[in-house]
Amino acid sequence: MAFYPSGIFKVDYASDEGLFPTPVIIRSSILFIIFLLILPWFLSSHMLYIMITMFIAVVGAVGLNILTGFTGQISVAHGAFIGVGAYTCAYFTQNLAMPIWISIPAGGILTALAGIFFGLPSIRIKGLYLLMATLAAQFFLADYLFVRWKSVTGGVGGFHVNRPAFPGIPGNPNLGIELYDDSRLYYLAMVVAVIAVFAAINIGRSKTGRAFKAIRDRDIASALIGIDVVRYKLMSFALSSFFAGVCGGLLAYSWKEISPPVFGLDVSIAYLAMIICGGIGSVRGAVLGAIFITFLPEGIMFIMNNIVIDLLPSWYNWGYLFSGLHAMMYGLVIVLFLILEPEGLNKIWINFRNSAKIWPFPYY
Amino acid sequence: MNKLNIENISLSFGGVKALKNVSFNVAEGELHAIVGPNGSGKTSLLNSISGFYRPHEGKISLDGENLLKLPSHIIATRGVGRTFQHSELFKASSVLDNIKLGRHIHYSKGIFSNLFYWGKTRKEETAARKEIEMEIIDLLELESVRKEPVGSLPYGVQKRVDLARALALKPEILLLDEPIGGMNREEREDMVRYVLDVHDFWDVTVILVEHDMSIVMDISDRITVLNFGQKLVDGTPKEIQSHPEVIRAYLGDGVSAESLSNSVKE
Amino acid sequence: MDYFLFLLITGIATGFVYALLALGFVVIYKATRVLNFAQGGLVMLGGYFCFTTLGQFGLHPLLAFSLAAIASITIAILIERYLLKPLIGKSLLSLVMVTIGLGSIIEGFAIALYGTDEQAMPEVLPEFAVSIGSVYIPSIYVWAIIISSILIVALFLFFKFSNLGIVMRAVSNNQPGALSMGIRVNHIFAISWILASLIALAGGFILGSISMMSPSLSIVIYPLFAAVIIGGLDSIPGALIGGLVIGVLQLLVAGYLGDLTGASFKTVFPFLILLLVLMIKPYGLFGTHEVERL
Ligand SMILES: Nc1ncnc2c1ncn2[C@@H]1O[C@H](COP(=O)(O)OP(=O)(O)OP(=O)(O)O)[C@@H](O)[C@H]1O
Ligand SMILES: [Mg+2]
Repeated sequence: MAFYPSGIFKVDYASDEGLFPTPVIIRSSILFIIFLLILPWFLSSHMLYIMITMFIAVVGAVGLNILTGFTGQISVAHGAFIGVGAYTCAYFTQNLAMPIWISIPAGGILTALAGIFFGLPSIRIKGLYLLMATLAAQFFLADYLFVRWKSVTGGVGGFHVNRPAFPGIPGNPNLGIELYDDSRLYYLAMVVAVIAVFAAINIGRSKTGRAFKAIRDRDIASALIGIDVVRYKLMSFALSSFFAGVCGGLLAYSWKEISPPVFGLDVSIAYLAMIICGGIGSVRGAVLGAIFITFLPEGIMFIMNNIVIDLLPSWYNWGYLFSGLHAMMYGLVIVLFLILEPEGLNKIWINFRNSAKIWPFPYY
Repeated sequence: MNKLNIENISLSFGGVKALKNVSFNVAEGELHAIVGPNGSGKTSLLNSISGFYRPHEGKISLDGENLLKLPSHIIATRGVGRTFQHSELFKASSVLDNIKLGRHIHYSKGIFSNLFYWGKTRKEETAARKEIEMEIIDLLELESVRKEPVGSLPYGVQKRVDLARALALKPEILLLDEPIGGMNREEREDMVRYVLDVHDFWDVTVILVEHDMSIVMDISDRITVLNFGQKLVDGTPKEIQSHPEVIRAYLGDGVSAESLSNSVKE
Repeated sequence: MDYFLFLLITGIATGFVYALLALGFVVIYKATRVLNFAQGGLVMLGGYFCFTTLGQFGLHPLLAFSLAAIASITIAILIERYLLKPLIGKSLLSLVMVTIGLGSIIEGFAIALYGTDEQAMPEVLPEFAVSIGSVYIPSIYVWAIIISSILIVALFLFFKFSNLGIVMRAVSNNQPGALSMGIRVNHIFAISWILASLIALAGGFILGSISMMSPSLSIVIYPLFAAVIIGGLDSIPGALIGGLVIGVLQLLVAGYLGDLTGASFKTVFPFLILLLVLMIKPYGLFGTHEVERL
């Protein structure tokens, strides 16, 4: 039986500004990380792959949340930005023989530059018009550049990348611990995801993040109190795209094969679905959303294969149902959350936590 | 010495001339009031100073530097703090975050340090928090609401948060756009006291836009009267009080009053 | 020269359809400030309604189109009632995302029901040969021009002279004002969705007849975006001009530069125009730029 203090009294401002409000949370965070560390031993190879995908999605979602959640700039180009990172990483590994600790940051930085470039319209336009500009970026990159710039991307035929080793040296990326096994890539993805989450939280609670949120809430007033709106908007594009680029690099290593369609508009929408169903503007929400959206297809497949398939009439082409569900699932998640729980999984989590705290004796 | 010089500025929106050839000076340390009927251009004047509107003619200089060439976020870094007539607070954020945003220009640690909070950023955040608590929250009596989202607070408190945010900038000149408008009597008295405290103890030059003549007469060093975008007069409260044009602008046109009584006779 | 003439005329025909569909955008945008990302899905769905009633049910065209119209209206009412109404007053992000979500739901439905294969729209419009010089124009293009222009004119008359049209304009100009006059603003929202979905039905039928029916018909939304951005989101003449310009340019580009740039250029090209317009004239040629105040 554990006793918790009835309240935590903060006696200085440093602790009030701190990240972990209670020792309980520190302890449970550490436990959670240990859990993640030993998890691979118990997972099937398929589940291992899903977990890796989930960590990678966390990086991307947390990144999109910086741009759309914090700064309020709606972007539908995240999928294409992830693609920029993926191709950069693949190219650095495969054609330039760069080690992983150069390729992944390079992917991030190049994508950040792309983000700044395609974010330039945000200097003059906002709202729906900016959304249009990001839509244009998405199509220009994924449907044109990736397809046509064959010498770098391999065009529609795709690009094959061998998984490098960790850490590797310039000239020989395969020196070190081999990552060919998913259980090793798991740890890389996990570490990157944890760093990404903490970086996003830190941004959110310091000067930069406050400026982002101010621009989201009221851009004119922000300028008048001394925030360089243009600079912070572009910074937000850069930072968010950096995350997207890192996410893309990890994806390239996880899949070992990339081609333009896997960075299409539906990927952008999937990431928007993550931050919306998680709860827009909150880092925890982005994480929860990434987890939810990663496991959603698994859940749907399970239900389909075990239940629905037997109920369908024999003349019906059930392949249609699969592709149909696949096409609509992100849209459905977005719509359902927006209507039923606009504050997303984050809100559900908070409600759950609050009621768990006082269980079994609620005050009412 | 003059803190702010406004020389012949004119501003129009389509056909509406919001400001016509307005000039006046604000001395260092002065509490300078701007009064005038609705639509006379008071807010437009403040917006021109803080760079949101750009007068097509004239010059606005602060400590000798022409503000009209500077983007508004740079103007803020020159020590121009302001409050707004209609709330421009970040409603979803807490009182504390609003005030921290007011201090934005004084945080020096950039994005890379911010990403890895522990270390320099943490030190800076803690120090700033301490200052904010001692200088602003304490002064404006906002302790009990510091973690509340601003949008959930009563109107009077929001006005105080607006002032707090402006003070967080450590302003050299403070532009207050109707800080006591729409408040009840008690809140007005508190707010006037805060403004006077800030003016006296912080050594700030204050430009105050206000409708309530009795308060303006009481507290200001100088008053500028605007009417239909033009400056009627400026001077000390005494000079203003007895000025015939001011009385006319505030009480209506004497001529038309005469013609009114004539038309009644006929 | 003949080739050019052919591309020009088919481009104009496509442009007329785009203009009509762009009007559907503008009608919703003006009334509700929602940019309907599901418009492409509605067009595709409209096409399938016709495909089903005409082809699968084999009904008389008049009956078939009426049935399709009823289905479209029902869908529009459901959308307005259950998706948009709960979000009134919510952020731009919510409003945009709900229509994006709706678009992919419609697409998923279509795939689940019809699969992804292309299917031919039954031919119910009388065929006739039109040739200009030695250029032969398939009659569906002529029909496209005729049907679209009739509907565009009808819409114009509706907004100009009918009671309801005038009320709708009032709502778009000044919503609080309209509310205080006792206008039921939410009925007007529903009606603008109905109008847009009927427009989409007509467009879906024409486009499905020009090419083939398939769920990917919904990508027509992209040239439409370019059209409305060129025109300005809230301008009806802008939508017409934008639609025509994009239709003609798209066919010319595909016709002349197709080999050079690859098929994907046809999809990307409207976006290049869109970006160009956004850079030079952010609020389009005719759109209004709302000045912000403090
Ligand atoms: N952004 C704008 N666009 C068009 N007209 C404007 C704009 N801002 C101000 N005006 C006009 O300029 C004139 C002066 O307005 P301003 O807001 O400066 O008056 P004010 O003295 O602050 O009035 P109040 O006492 O009502 O606050 C008014 O006629 C107003 O309608
Ligand atoms: Mg005013």
